Amino acid sequence: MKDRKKANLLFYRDINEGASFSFEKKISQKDVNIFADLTGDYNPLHTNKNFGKKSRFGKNIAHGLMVGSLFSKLVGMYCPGEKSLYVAQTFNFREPIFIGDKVTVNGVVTAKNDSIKLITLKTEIWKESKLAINGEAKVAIIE
Amino acid sequence: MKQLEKILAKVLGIDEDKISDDTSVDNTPSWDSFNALLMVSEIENYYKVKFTLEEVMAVRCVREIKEVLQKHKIELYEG
Repeated sequence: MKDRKKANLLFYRDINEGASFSFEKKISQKDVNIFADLTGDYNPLHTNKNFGKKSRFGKNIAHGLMVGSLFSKLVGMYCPGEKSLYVAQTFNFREPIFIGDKVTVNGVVTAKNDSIKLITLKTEIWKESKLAINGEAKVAIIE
Repeated sequence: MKQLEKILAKVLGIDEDKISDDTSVDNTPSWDSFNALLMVSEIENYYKVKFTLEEVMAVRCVREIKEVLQKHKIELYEG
């Protein structure tokens, strides 16, 4: 597995509202192919060159959920990392992402619920200066 | 506005007008452990209130949610 590293070990008390986490990734053709194989979503907008060329985008676009799945890395590896239990995630897909695009994945802690040790993260994926995907994650910290 | 009912309907995935004081963990299949966490989070964040773990564990129906909110001096039906 490429790009593997040890997950952060953040406890509930270590996480403050306003804390932010970020990483970058370049989206490759291989990523799109693997996601198509994994999910069975071979929609031609993602997998057929000619179809992509004739589409409103002029080329193939990456699956929105494939790029959005980077929020899993944000939660599972960065905040809170090892102690995470993903409870909910919303998505809004705002901009197409193409093969070769470099995206920045951001998460900001916006709320903490002490009684159940659950945090809310504002989650965003930026393509240069454009917000491509945003949403909200709710993550319990299992201690 | 019945904001509490709106929050609960959204989390539980049921119509707002189906939410009553008697809506409970025993008669609502979608009131599972994950949605219970979401309800606590959404209610705490909206009303800017912090429940205790004991309060969270004790609540089993909408009437009891309202009682806990009232205990925390939350005005439920403003306006």
